[in-house]
Amino acid sequence: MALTPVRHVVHIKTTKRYAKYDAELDTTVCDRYNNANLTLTMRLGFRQINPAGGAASGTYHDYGDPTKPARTIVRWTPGSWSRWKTNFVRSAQPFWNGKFWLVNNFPTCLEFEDGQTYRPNIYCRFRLSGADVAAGGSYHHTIDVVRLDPSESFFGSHSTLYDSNDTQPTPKDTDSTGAAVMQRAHVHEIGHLLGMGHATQGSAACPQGPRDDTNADACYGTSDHDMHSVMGSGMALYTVHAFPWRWAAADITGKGTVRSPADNRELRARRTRLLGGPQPDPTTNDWSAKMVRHYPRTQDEARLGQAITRRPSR
Amino acid sequence: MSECARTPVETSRCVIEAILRDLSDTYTGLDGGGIASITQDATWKYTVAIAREERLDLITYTVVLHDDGMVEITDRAKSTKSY
Repeated sequence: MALTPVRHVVHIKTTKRYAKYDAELDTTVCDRYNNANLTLTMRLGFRQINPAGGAASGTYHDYGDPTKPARTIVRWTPGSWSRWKTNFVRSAQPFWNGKFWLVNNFPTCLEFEDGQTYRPNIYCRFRLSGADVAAGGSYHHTIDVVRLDPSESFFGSHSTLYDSNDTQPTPKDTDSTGAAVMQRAHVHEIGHLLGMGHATQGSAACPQGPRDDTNADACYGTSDHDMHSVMGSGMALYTVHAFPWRWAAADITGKGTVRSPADNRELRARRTRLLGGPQPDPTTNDWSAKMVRHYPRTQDEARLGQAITRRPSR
Repeated sequence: MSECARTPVETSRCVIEAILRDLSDTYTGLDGGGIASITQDATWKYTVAIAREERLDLITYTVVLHDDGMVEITDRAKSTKSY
């Protein structure tokens, strides 16, 4: 049966450009089984940092701070540079792509006719590109990258200064069972570039005022759950990490309110201080995130609050 | 006079050894580049900087040197310098 949009919805692709990424909401793919796609596209511009004077080997300081320890670096070759960029994108993109579905809790929003009226949810996609700044072009973020000498096991990286080992799994912490908590730093950094803070940022353990340091150890998590978070010291994705898509969905559709996980925690901490005693999580249910596929719903299914997580017979 | 009070350098050595022993017992971070610096901020206050991703962990120790040469750690404060 042909797809006929209801009269107040036009099936189109809507793109918005933000500082950190672009977002495209595509409703042309909607049918009784398929949701709208919301694709966040991030363009990274990588810039080589090579030893001074064209030497094959040299040093570079942690964090790019000349007062901090120097590590031995080697010159990038065309092959190593190309492989590193490819590996970065090929491993970071799938980590964030296609992991979340946002439940559409707004009557009429994005609804379409396909035999009857359906309300699609939103499937969250992520597209990452990494190109050489030297080639020109426009980028959401520019990242400097050092190539560590094989003798080096550590370099002090940050969100815009990476090293060639940042794509490798590294033990970051130990959980309550004594197991090492492993992380590939680049997926954590992509989380920052998407606008997310550390796992407990905004909580009493990790306040985020102007004088507070949100890189303090406690901000990476003290509970196993937070410690294993990709925005802590681990690789676990939770629904809170759908925040960039939820925020873009609210902005593009003009429906709903979405706060960052850190702002939610801060709001809860503030309410707790003002009102005394633990306060409920102030997170709104708008565009609530799920980590299993939620199929489009009929109006009746939506009205009853049903979640269609198994392929229905339509 | 205890060995630790014999010269200023010996005093520093005793203090730093006590700090390093405490650090081995209490610091739980697994990753990073190890100790980037140990600086004397005041006569009886030292700061250890440990290089981690995105930050330096700073552990500031306040110590007392007793007559018998024992170094007592009276305060250990942790902070962070972010990058």
